[in-house]
Formats: sequence, structure tokens, C-alpha cells
Amino acid sequence: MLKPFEQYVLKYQDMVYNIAWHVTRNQHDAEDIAQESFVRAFEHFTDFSTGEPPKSWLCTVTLNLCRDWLRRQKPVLSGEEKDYRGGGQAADQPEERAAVKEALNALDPESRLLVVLFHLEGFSHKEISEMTGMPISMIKNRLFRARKKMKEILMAEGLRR
Amino acid sequence: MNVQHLDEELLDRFAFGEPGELDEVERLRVEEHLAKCSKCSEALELLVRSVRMVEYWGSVKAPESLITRVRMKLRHKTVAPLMPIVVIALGITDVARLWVLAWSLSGGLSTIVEALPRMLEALSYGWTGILRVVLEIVAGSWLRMGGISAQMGVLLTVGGLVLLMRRKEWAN
Repeated sequence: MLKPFEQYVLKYQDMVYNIAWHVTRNQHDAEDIAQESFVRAFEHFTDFSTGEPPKSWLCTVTLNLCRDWLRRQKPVLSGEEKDYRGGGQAADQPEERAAVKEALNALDPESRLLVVLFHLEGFSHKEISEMTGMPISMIKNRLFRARKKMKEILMAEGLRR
Repeated sequence: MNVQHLDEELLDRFAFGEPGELDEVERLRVEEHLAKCSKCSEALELLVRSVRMVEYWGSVKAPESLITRVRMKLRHKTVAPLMPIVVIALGITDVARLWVLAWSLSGGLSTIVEALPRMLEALSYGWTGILRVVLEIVAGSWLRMGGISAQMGVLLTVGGLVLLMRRKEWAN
């Protein structure tokens, strides 16, 4: 792999994988999506005046791949699904991580994705709107409801941190 | 005294709204209320703490296998522009190997011995690789038996098929 592209992968692999994993909730599919995202980034690597595909562009590619995946999975996946296995971090996880997983698991995939983009990856409402095509008002509303739901679950779990 | 508490949505906007989302008057009103209302302050604190927990524990790191997978996938991509030349070169060596196989070996066991390492290599390419090697072995056996025109016919046909299969292997 070419050096600049390898550095690009190293820079964004956690973000891409994080998004993919929170949608798919399994390592294999998340890796497939992340790999395909980087292959597409490689194909367009020299197309940008910035010297590399911007973070938001890469994120949009990942989101589109996640949506394709969700479309294929629809009959199986639901917000109520309890199987929320972490990316290889399951055995000795502290209670807080388990509680957070449960809280995130309680959200529908779209809301979870918004939480990941806004709270874990630090995108603004406007950036998320551009990436997902959702109106900003809808994003704010869904984030509000997601935070409310997560708070209720974490309070029930004791909210230790 | 009947106290009017802040509603959840306003508290949420106060805590996580982007700059400018609450105007100055609204923001001051919330701050003043929070200063004297322990119930709303507690509600705000719980909301912020729960989100901080999610931010702290929610992220998942990419496994080390990811970059290896990307490398493997891109190796094929970077070789792709050279593919026609590589395929033709490999096709020529395949045909040449067939010719040597036909004329220098006594056949039977030695043909199989020569074919074994090729079989192992072919396994890594999946069904096209295996089919190609089988075809080469069969063609090699025929070549030893036929006349010169039959030999040329077999060589050209098998050579073409081998080229097509090589192309498919490299495309993968």
C-alpha cells in the first residue's frame, strides 16, 4: 500500500470502524464495510484538492455502505435486539461499558448512528445533515430523544461515572 | 410555592445545543433558574453525565486485522494496471510449460509430481486456478499422443483458455 494512503487509513480507521460497528454490531460486517470504504477512498485518493478525501466524504461513503447493509438486514435487525457484542472487548468490560452498550442498543439504528456521529465523532448538526441528507431539525429531535432514552437506561443502571 | 421547572428539551438544548441555538435571554433565564432549582440542576447533571458516559465508553477501536485486509485488497488494485502485460507473460509461460511437459517428461507419475506444486498454488486462486491446472495436465497428456497439427490446435485452445482464467484470477 502506498505510504500516504496507509497513513490516511491509520488516521481514520477508528472512525470508519466505529461507525460501521455501531450499525452492524458485529466485527466481521463492520470490517467488510470499513475495508470497502477505504477501497473507495483509494480509488478517489487523488481527486481532491485537499490532497486526500476529506473526513466527511469518507464518512458519507461509510454511511452509504452501512445503509446498504441495513437494507439487506432489515428482517433481522431491530432496536430491541439484545445481542450487542463489542469489537473484541467483551470479557473484562467494566459495568459502565456494559451499561452504555445497553443504552445504545436500546436505540434504533438511525438514532444510534446520529449519536455516534455527533457525540463520538464530533460532527456538527450541519455536517451530519450534509452527510445523511436528513434535515437539521430532525437530527436535533432524534438526538434529543436518543439522549433522553439513554439517560433513562443509564439511570436505571445506576449511572456510576 | 408552585415552581415552574424547565422542560427536558430546553435543558437538552442548553447542554448540547450548538453555539447560538439558545438566544442570550433564553440562556440567562435557564442559568438563573438552575442557580436556584436543585431539581432542574440535578436533571441537567444526570443528562450530562449520561452523555459523557456514552462518549467515554461508546467508542470501538478498529481491530489490527483491518489495515491488513485493506492492504491485501489494495495489492490487487495496484497490480491491476499491469494486468494485461502480466497476464500475457503468465499465459506464455503456461503455454511454454505445457510444451516442455509434453516433450520432456515420460508422463504418468512424473506428470503428477510436476503438477502437485502447481495444484497447491492454484488452490489459492479458487476454482479457476484448479480448473486451469487440471486443463494443463490433461492437455499435456494429449500433446504427447497427437500429431503436430493436433498439438498446435490443443496448444492454441488451451493457451487461450489459460489466458482467460489467469485474467479472472488477477481480477479477483
